Amino acid sequence: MEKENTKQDSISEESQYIEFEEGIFGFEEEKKFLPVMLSDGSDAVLYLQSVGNEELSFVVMNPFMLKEDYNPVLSEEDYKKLGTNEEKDLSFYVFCVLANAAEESTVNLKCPIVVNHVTRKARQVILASEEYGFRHLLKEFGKEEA
Amino acid sequence: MLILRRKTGESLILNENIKITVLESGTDGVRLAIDAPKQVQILREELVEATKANQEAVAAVDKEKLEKLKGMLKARQ
Repeated sequence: MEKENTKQDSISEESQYIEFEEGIFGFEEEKKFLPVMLSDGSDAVLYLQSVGNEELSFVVMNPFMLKEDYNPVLSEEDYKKLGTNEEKDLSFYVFCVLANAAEESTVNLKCPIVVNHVTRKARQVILASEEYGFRHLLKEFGKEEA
Repeated sequence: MLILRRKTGESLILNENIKITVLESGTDGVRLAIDAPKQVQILREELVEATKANQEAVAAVDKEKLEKLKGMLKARQ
């Protein structure tokens, strides 16, 4: 997947939930999440709040803002389940494990969530690529050029 | 760790009641058939890892840490 910049269509523009038909790994019963924007006009970091369980939320980040050349390759089945063949319909987010020192926080580039922002259908995938791991330290990623 | 070689069609028996047979092997991977009692849980390793990683992510949601993260992102811009 080629992206010229780090922008993607943010999923938080509408205050509408996204739906994971199969839940997310370890939380298969949780289907509906509300993406909540945390900083003005940017989807660099979002809250993903479970609609069914208010105790359950995640912090997710836009992976392209961390790593411009992030290249998640989806399977045919993934496209089918997301109901599109068009990459432009899709937005990617990665789960973040926050640490006391921000630079020590990690992101899971191996298992992004993929959202079809047209239909609001979402899916967490496990990428086949060996290049991506479950825990990348944020300090791994170079400072962004302004 | 035990490492051994099996050909297509050959099997391994674990614990007298679990049978793993190599159905097919190619550059794309190996297809296995696992015959085990119902109560034996069989999971793909990456699924276990993915679940663990998600659970860590839930546990780590903390307002103060989140503010620090936002601060760091802002400083990078």
